[in-house]
Amino acid sequence: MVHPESELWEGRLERVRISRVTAGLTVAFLVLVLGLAAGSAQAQKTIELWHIFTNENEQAVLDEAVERFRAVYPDVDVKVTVTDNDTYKTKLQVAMAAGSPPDVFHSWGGGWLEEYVDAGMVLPLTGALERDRWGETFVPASLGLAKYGEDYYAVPLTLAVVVFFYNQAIFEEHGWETPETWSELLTLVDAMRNEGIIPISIANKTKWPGAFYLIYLAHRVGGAEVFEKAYNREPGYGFDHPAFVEAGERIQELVRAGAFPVGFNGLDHDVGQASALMYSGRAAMHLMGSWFPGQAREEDPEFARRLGWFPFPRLEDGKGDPTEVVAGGDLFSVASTTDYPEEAVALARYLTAYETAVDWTRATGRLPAVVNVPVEDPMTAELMKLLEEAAHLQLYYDQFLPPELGELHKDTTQAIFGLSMTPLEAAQAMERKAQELLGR
Amino acid sequence: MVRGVPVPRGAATKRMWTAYAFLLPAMVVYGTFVAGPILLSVYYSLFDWSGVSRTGTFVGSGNFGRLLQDSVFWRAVGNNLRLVAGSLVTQLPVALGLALLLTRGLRGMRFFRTAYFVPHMMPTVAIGILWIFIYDPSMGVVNDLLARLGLHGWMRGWLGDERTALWAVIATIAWQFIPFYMILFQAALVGIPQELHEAAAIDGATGSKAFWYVTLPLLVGTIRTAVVLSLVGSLKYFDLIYIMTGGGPNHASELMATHMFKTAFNQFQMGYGSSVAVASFLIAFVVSALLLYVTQFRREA
Repeated sequence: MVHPESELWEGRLERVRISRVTAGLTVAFLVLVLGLAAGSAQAQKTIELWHIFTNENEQAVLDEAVERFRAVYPDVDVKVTVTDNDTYKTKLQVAMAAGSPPDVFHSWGGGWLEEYVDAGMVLPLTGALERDRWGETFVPASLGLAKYGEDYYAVPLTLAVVVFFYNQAIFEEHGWETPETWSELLTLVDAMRNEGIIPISIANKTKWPGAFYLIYLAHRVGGAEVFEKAYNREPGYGFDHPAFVEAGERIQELVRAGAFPVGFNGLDHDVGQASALMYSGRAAMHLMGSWFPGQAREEDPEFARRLGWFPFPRLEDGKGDPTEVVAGGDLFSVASTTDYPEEAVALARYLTAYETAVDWTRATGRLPAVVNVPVEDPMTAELMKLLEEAAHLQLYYDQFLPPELGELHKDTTQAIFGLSMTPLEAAQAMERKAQELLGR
Repeated sequence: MVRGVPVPRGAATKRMWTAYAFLLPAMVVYGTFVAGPILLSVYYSLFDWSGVSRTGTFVGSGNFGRLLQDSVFWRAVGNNLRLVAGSLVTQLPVALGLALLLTRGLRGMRFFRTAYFVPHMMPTVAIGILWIFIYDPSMGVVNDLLARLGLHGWMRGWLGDERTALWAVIATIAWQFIPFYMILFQAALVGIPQELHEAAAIDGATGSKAFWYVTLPLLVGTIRTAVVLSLVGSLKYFDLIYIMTGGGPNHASELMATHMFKTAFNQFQMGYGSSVAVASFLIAFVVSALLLYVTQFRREA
């Protein structure tokens, strides 16, 4: 833009005054447009990076990685844009539809990224991963999040595992133990209700926090193979399998027991309504991804010191392996439309480098997707161990499934939570859509 | 054009071209940013297209057949109509009431005029987040107030309850738009010549009589404008609903615009989303055209 006090602006004003108004305005407009176009053509190489790490500590670590990249590629400018989780998805979709996505972008892998891969918008990184054994620097399961066919389309920086976090002070004060089984959890919920404490915090307007329950419960009831077989359309399996129905029934069992805050389906996770209930001590437990401790440390360090965790309880009569976990990762992809593929891949490499992962883990308490990163924080180390020893990692359904089915899964689960749909109806709606999208 | 003034033929043509020349920039902008996208949406609505892939499959009217059976869409249409009714019933009367109060010349009027207008000056996102906290079930002002009044039975999670979510947002929308209509009515009230009131007073029309027989008839034109604006605004409403409830829970506050947005951008169905957009456009168009026709008819009668 031209600064109003600059000479160029003066000249333009002159011209407007001299010529007829319309013509003058048109010329001024054209000059501006052409000037902007010429300006960008002369600039050095620019790479756009979009990510969703709004937390200050996280941003700082990534900014340092970008600086390290810049030291090696001084002719490349990196323009970083940070966006909120849900807004980001829409924003990227619009940029993709317009055919001008950012060169390097945050990704979760799964069915969501697959849409873009199928559209030919994502650069395969398989060749790059083979060079100097880059691929071997990652935890294998994390790379698998973005593998379609024989190719990899994203590189991971961090992993997340979903567990129950709880306020240790509340538990100690009342002499409560962390629950290991579903019935222990229900007993605990009752005890907490009697003390006037909200047992479990959740802000489910955003829908994915509630979806964690359905995934965990379906896997505790029926094991990982039910979901896999339903997804692969194997005979006798579908999204109306009894395991999904029972998972929904268990959720409603919790809702009816008063486990969740009033109006939870209208609370907004993104504006912190769930964490506020935890920080203020009104709620005792919170089923959330392992990014939560780092977030708490930044938002309420006092509370973060009281934070403990326990794995999702096992079901007494469930078939699933109780060490199974719901997990996901944060990765970076490179757009196939980039003008500077070499530099963009190099940037992705700096963002997921060992050095970055070490800083990341130390600063944010989040789990590294890069191998051999030292983990000092005890809670991070425990969560890492849980992840390493897990029988199976289940990526969040809404990111694993094709987006249309993933959205329906979140919608129907929210309706289950709201008691406005029976678990059977929800399961049948899922199966109908699955037949339409995945085949019979 | 001015009728009845004879203009030489050549001069008229020249003048017409000048008019077109002046219209051109506006038409280019309008064509590029309004008409173009509408036509493109109509075109996209004929395809099964994800929005990212290079090509889509032509399905003709297939998307519209699906739309007719889409229960969420019809629920959204119903909600849009509730929003229309809710807006007309709350926004216009309250705005008119406030405008009447403010033209009375109360003490501290300037303060109230500014204070009442503040909601309309706030960015929608800020309004949305502010009201999310006002409605917060455990820490919000609304439930707190109800508790203080001893109305514990009325307390609820306003945005999380399927029965109240839509109405809670409609109340917020009213709060957002009442100032706008208030200013509109105020301008019209100020424009009514003082002599008319004086003449009416001499004839014995004061107080509510003066309002019904003098003020209101003279406001009809403005009220009609306000009704049309409110109706069209309600039919295409998007932002506060998206921020406050996301159309939920379980589609309880889904509007045509949020449904369109979600199908096109969250579910990767740009083609189907476009057909939702086209249908919403048609509904809004037909309703506004009907309304304009009806009100026009009344004026001439």
